[in-house]
Amino acid sequence: MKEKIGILIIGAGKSGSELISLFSGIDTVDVAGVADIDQDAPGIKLAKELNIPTTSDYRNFINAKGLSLIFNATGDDKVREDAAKIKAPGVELINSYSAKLIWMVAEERMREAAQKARAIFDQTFQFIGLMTPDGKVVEANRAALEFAGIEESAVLGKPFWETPWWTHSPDMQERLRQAVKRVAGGEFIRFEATHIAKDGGLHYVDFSLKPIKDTSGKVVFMVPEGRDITEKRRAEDALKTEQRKFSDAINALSDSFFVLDLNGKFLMWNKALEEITQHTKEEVAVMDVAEFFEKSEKEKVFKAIAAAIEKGHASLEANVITKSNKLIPHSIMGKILKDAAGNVIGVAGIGRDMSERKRAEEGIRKINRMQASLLDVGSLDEKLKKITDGVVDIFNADFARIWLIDRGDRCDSGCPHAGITEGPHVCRSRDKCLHLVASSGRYTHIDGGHTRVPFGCYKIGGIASGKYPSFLTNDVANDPHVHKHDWAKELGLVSFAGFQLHPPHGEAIGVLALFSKHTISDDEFMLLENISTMAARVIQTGIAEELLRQSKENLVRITNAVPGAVYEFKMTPEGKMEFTFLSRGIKELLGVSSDDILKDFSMAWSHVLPEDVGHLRESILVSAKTQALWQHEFRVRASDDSIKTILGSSAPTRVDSAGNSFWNGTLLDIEDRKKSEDEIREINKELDDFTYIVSHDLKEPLRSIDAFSKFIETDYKDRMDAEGVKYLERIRANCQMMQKLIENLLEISRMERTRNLSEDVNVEEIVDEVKFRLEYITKEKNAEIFIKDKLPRIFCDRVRLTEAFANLILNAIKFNDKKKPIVEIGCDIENNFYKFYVKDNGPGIDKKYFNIIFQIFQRLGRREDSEGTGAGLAIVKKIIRMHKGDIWVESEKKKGSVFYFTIPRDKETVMGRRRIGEILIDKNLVSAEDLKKALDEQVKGGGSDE
Amino acid sequence: MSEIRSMIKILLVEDNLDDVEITRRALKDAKVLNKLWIVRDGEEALDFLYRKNQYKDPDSSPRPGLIMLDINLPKINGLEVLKRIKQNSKLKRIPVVVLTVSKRDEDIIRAYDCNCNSFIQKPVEFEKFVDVIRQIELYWGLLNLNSPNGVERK
Repeated sequence: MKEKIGILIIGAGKSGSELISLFSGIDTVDVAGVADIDQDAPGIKLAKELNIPTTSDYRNFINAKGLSLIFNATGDDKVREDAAKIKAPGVELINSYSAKLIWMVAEERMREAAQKARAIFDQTFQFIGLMTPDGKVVEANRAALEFAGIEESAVLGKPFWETPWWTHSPDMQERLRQAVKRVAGGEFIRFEATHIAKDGGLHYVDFSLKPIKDTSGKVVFMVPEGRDITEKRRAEDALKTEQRKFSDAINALSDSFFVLDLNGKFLMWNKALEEITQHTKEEVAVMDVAEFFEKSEKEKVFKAIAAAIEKGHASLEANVITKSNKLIPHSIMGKILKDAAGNVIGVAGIGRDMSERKRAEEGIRKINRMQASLLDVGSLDEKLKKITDGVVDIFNADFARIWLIDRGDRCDSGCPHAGITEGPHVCRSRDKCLHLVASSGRYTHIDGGHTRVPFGCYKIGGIASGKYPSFLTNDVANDPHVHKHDWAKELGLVSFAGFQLHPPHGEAIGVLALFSKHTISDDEFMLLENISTMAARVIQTGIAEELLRQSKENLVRITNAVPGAVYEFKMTPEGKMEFTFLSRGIKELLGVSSDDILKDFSMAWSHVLPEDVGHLRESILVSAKTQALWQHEFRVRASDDSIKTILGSSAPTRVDSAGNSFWNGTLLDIEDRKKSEDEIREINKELDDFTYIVSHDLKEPLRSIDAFSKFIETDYKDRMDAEGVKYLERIRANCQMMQKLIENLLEISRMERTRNLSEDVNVEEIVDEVKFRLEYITKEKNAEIFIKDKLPRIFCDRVRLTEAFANLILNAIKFNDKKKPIVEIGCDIENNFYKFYVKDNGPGIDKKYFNIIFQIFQRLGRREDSEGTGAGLAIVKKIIRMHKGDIWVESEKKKGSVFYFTIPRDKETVMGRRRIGEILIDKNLVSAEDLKKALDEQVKGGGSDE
Repeated sequence: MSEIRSMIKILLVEDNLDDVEITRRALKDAKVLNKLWIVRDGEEALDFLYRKNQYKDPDSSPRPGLIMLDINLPKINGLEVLKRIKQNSKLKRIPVVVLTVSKRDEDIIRAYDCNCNSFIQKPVEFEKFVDVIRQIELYWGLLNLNSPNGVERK
């Protein structure tokens, strides 16, 4: 230790005091004494305070030991001189002036230092101050002052704990006081303090108090320091809160949460992990992750961890062993954790108990299997039994049942409910009754006491009626809706669930109900609801299928009863053809089953005779293109090699959205008809020949009779009397008659068989021709024939129609009694036919003869009065009928007659090709109005589905 | 009607005796003085025309200027006769008038197909028949010009 520099200060005035202050703060200086005549001088007081010896006479100290310097602060020369004289030789004497100088320099230095210090002092945002060892505030920096919003003057010299920084809390004050005491003893104290800022806010301050010691170790000052750690504290608090939240969260998880370090030790975990594995927190803290798994699965676990580290994440399915060695299937997922530098520090993850899920999965698998098996073919009852079996199996029910709602069928044959007339369970609706159709589990019979339940009554009926739409109780023994509590208790039944089965927007169609020995969870209840939806669908489908099956049966029955084959034919827009429906009758036609042809349309083609295939195909395509009725004759070779002629006809029914056209039609075996036609042709030919031969053979003798009787007449006239001649004439007249008859017969019978080609004919030309033919008689009778308006061009047999007109006009003239017979010919055009008329001003015809005049050989007058054979009108009628027309007469006696006849306008009709429609009408299968309506609709383009 | 003399020879092919009688009478009444040869069936007709068998002698079977042929004949059918006549180079020039009771279209067609020259239906009434005969003579005997061969004119 260095020797301190001893100083003696003479003069304790202002300068002296300053010197004393100055030097007393310097460690290396020891103020040995202060001298002043005036013992009340300020410096003396100060010295006393600082424990510096004082004297009134400097000579007392001038030779003190260790003295190196004497400061003369008196400014008195006398003293200076004296001091110089009596001082010890090595001691320096500094006079006022020098002392002042030194002091000024020192002061300046100090001021500089102080400024610097002050600058730092005030610049820092930390709180800094200076205190005396007894706690009085010497300095306080700007930050501290601004914080509390106080002035320096308010705190200087005050005990620290009484300053506004501390007065808000007596606790804090006490603490500070204690701290000051200890720091005054040389300790360093640090603690967290709270202070009120000038805005009233509470701040946390990291407060420290440091002692400043002098060379002797004495505490001369104390430095209070404070750091506002409010922000930091708030952040810390927030972090703590977050951490707590996090901790709460992970502890709220029902799944296990963990963080492992790279060695497999647990850094963090949640409550669930402890609970599931049945280990305490302390145990987990020291356990290795491998200890939670079976030996056989450890490999898997390590692999998963390695994968997580490599890929960043991994998942694992394994069984976790609990403390009690129970195995719980788990699904574990983990992710690696890295620090800020990117180094892997561990794996965080979640483990989920799969046992519940596994159970649920199994349950769902079973339900899916059940659903799939319901798609198999089977009766409705079989399917419902599958469902009740499934319910018992999947949900471990004691027994499960399904009732269907149907008409009451046992009301009159002993149903126990029918007899109840009082009480809450009276069967009110006989047409709604619950039929037990399936029962599985403990009870499998369906004809016991519950075979019928009245709708709306009891538990089951109430569920059906909607009194309780779906019903669950887990306390069967006490539930008021369950009736037989004792029975339930005896069987150990705990829960009951009942569901109304109904289509999505429809009325109830049944009930599914079950009893169980264990409680039914909400999840299970929901699954059961799904099953009841499934059951409702199955029932609906079952009913629909039944109806469909019945209607299909009907259809098949009807179409099989129809002769030939009935079909629905489909053609795609590309021209692909197939049958969508074909009745059994095809088997009789072709010897092939309808199924085979439905599968393979080309099989049908293969039966058509090659030479007919082309025309057939063409006719189909033409009809398809024009959507017209189709009819075509073609030959087929049946499976037994027989050749048949088939008449196919169909009508288009609809075109669907894809552009496919559909046709309904029939295939008829007209081989017989064809045979008949051939037979008829042959018969006709034979008849023709017969007629020819007969008429020829009849005519020849006639000629002879006529001729020879003429010869007699001529040659033997003079040898006969008038009577004889008359007889001969009568003979001849009869011959002629017979000849005409034969001609007419021939004509009529031939007309049926020989058809002239119908052609487009101008009727006016025909009438002109007839007029020409009848010129003679027209002139003779002074008759007039005229055409009213115009006559049309029509499609007909020219020759025959000429014949018809000839007959009618001839009749009109021949039988006319008037001086001037007038024959008017005209035509009205009706909807579907031409109505021609031949009107005369003759004698008229009595109504009662209207029909018979058209009969062959009927005449109205006496034979001798008319030339006709009476066959004329019969021939005309035949001709008109051949044109598919009609003929009739309107007449009144004395008022002339009008003969009307119609010729159809439609060529086809005239030519006699008959359509299906006509055949139908003919056979009374459909009325003409209905057919017309249907055809009109077709034409309109709507096309009904009929 | 004034007498018209026509001298073409007429061959009548007719199997019905009555008809033969009637035709003869008709010719008489019609004042047709042609010589009339009669054969009773198709075979005879061909014999006559070919001058075969009993008609070997040309005097007994002169070339006729007109053949009146009934279709209905026993043995060989009248159409067949017609066909043969018309196929023979010499005979085909002789006009053949088919005289028959039928006026069936088929018959008419067939007859013309076999190249008959005319087809006439025999009317039942005698007077009408006489008229027909007269007209046949008027036409075929007078108006119509036969081919040079086989006609003997005086």
